[in-house]
Amino acid sequence: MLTKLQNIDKRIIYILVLLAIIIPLVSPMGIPFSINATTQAVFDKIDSLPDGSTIAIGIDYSPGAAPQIHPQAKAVLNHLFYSKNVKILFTSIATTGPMFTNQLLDEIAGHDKVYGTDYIHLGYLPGVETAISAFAKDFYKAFPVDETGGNIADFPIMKDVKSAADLDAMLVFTASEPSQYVRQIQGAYGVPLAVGINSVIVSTNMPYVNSGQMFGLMNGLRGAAEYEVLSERPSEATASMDALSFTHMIVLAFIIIGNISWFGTRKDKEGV
Amino acid sequence: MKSSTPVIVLTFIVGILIIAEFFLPGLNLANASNEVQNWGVVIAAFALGLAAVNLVRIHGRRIILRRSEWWNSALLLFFLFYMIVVGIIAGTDYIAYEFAFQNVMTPLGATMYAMLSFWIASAAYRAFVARSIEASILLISAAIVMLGNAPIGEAIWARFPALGSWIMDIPNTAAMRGIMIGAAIGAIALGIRVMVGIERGYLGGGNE
Repeated sequence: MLTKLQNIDKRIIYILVLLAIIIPLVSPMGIPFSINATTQAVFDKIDSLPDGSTIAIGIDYSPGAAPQIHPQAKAVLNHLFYSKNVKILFTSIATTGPMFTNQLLDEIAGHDKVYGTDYIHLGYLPGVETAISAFAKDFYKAFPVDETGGNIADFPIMKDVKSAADLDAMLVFTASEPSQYVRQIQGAYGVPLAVGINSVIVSTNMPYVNSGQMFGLMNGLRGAAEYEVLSERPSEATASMDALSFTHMIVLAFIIIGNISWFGTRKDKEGV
Repeated sequence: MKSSTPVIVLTFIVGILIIAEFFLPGLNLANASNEVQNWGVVIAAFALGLAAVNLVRIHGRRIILRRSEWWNSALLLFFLFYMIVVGIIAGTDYIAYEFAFQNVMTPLGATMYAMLSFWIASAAYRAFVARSIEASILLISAAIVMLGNAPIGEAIWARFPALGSWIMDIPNTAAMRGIMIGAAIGAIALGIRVMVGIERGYLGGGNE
């Protein structure tokens, strides 16, 4: 019996994981969840931004990370575009960033914000950390034209913005290396920085949160769901929380089965 | 004089310029440093183009020689040229470009990542066994963090999120800080080696 438990066909595991994802999505239970302090800090900071503040938003994720990070960005933009009166600069150091920015702006359409006055899409800048350092020093040199091809000096939103020193905050949505922004934006200019990242890199970024170099952090799909609840706009991330719960439980159940079978058959193995 | 000497000298000058601009603001090197960093951006843009040329060379050769699964290379090159041509001629906001991004690239990328959940479940079952004290600590910590992150963990015991946060905030942060400080010191050492010409891997051809 225990030997059988140790050799469960992986196809059975795959089917159970699939069912743990599909069933809660089709028939959600709505398991309640609390708000993590790091997400609360992001919401509180954005919510308390005074009218007329200028923030930069880095959209730096790839399609692979989009299921976790895109809902975070959408929840934050919904909050900013519908409840706040701040100026927003979109930047990207990922090749796919501009496409996701366009997609996000399409998805949140219906607001009264004006392009060029309330927000601007500066587009993609190659060079990763060098690119961050370059636009932090001088937006005009790094992004002479915006994503639509217009001279950025012609847009009213850029009138009082020359470098990162003129920003009131920066939010970065990424699945790679947010510490680059700590070094080039927060550390160099003292700009309050928060990130939205996928769950797998949360552990490597917690030191920046605990040291205050990041004022907040959104943790994967759970972070997106928490932000949706905080901004009173529950959407796809909130609806996915039951699927997250059940897949976690399936993984834990198989870890327990694996351990029981391993310990149960250990004496047999040692006797061989 | 070796052909690499001018590049090494240039690397040293650029490195010193960037460092001096940060640590010695009184020298008014901001404009020069900014200009050099914008060159870096331009070089990175050319590197992207070079990567595309390299892809065409490698996969074009696979197709010509009819290597195994050469049709995957053909498909890759088709979409590479499709995105380049449509993007340059019609722009990245053109419907055909957006369609390919939103309905081909994004779902494929997400699918690749989502498959991890199946592999992780299978791998955790086989490999995540409490064979030693260290493995047991890792196992228990991971289980608590998972239960703290999933709403169902909170439904089972309300303290799971707080316990998960404690693991992330205290032991994890302590270990990560050590790793990060070590890596930063290593990066400084590597930077100095590159600047003074000891490390020449970036020139290609190894350390000759």
